Amino acid sequence: MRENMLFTNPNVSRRTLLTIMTAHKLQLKARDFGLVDLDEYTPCAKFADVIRVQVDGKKLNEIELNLEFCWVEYSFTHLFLDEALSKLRDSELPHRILTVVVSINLGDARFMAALLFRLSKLVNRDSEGSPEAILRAVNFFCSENCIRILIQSRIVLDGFGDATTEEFIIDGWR
Amino acid sequence: MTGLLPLLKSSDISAGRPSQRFHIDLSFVRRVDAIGLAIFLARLTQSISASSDATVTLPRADLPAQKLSELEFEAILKTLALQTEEYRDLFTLKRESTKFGSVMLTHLPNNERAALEKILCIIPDKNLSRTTQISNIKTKIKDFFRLDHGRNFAHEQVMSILLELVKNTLDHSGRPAILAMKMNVNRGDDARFSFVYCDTGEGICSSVRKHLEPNKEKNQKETQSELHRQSEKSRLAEKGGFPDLVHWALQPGNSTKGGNGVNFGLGLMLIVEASHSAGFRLSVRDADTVVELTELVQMRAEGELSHYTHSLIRQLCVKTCSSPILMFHGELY
Repeated sequence: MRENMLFTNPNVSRRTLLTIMTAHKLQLKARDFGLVDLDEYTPCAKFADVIRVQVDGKKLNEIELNLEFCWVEYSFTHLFLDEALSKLRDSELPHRILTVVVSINLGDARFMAALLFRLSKLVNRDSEGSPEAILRAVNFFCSENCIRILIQSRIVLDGFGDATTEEFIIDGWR
Repeated sequence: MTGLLPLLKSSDISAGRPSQRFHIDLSFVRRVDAIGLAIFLARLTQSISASSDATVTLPRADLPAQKLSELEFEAILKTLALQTEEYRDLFTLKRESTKFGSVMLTHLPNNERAALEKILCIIPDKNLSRTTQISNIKTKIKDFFRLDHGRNFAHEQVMSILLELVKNTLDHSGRPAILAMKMNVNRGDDARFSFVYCDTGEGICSSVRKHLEPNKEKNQKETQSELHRQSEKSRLAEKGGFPDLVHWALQPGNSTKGGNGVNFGLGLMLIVEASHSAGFRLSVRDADTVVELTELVQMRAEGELSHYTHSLIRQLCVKTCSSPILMFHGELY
């Protein structure tokens, strides 16, 4: 089912598929699924559905959600992030990684990470908490479930050319 | 009426009292762009009361008149609750009307055609939820960005900056704000993208000053450290200048409106740092001073400082003689 969906999507390269099959990694570009308005409920819920359908729960230990060139505004990001995290939590493989690539850099990477998980029902139940409190909750979840979260900010300053990349890591492997 | 020139306009058109009726004479205007018009309209909005009657004398030359038409000047006046009149009065000239004639776009010079411009009014509405208001503005900004097929700038990053400004208007100001955006399709010496955001509210300094003013109802049980902190605050409210108040606003966690759980008091810092990441040159003009905020980030990075210091902010402040307005101006080359 998963492979069929990917093969019918012309934007998903064969290289991506090989990566999925050989290294237990799933790479999803929201834009490839026509889900650009990730500042609205419906596209975020659909992206969560995509993850639900495509992830072969027990055999994956790495999920990359590429949100580049999408309108990301944090109000509903928890819908698909929670889905991805719960899939990783249920995986049988150790050393799980969730990578989130965004094309927004708010300067303070900790702040951006806190915004992404602010409304998460899985890792953060206190949505009114400070960024530090949210990150502590995310960190606790990651440590309990052996998950590392990488948040990459890749800003393409001019056209579709080179990007500046910054990375923030919440390391639950230690 | 281009660029930042309308900042020099005398705003005191009614000696401090809002006008009910006024006349806008644009007959000698030779050039118009979105940035200049937005500043002009913001200054106008500061000086008039809602539902004022306005008559307009259009520019004598066709090109600026056409430009005003393209920028939907008439619709903007209505959005700002200004009732444009159809009839002439004693002060109107022959050409004036609130109706615009049509001039073919091809008549515009090449450099004018290359620039895509848009003005948006942000009018806080108590009948609409914050989310709905933000969503409405976001849709309009997205529509404008879609015209940039070559993706000359980082759309998502710029959107996050503009939305933060809109949120500040809705959360803090409560008064109309005007956003003008301009992007150049043909790359030349002009900025790839520029914007101006004029908020007609009381501004950062005044808002921070009011927030820090001591609470009149003193609590007898306050501890020594609380009293000391309170006296520091009231001293800042009373004696603080522009650099001191901006310094306060740039500290993480400091906000004049706590408890909305949305931006954790990081609003201004987020705007500044996101602008720097996007390669913007961003300045803010508030009270009587203008400061280039992205230069501040640069200098902080060069000085390897962990936070923005008073002296750093002071170095970059430039006092101006024009009337106060809160204005963010960003350019991306």
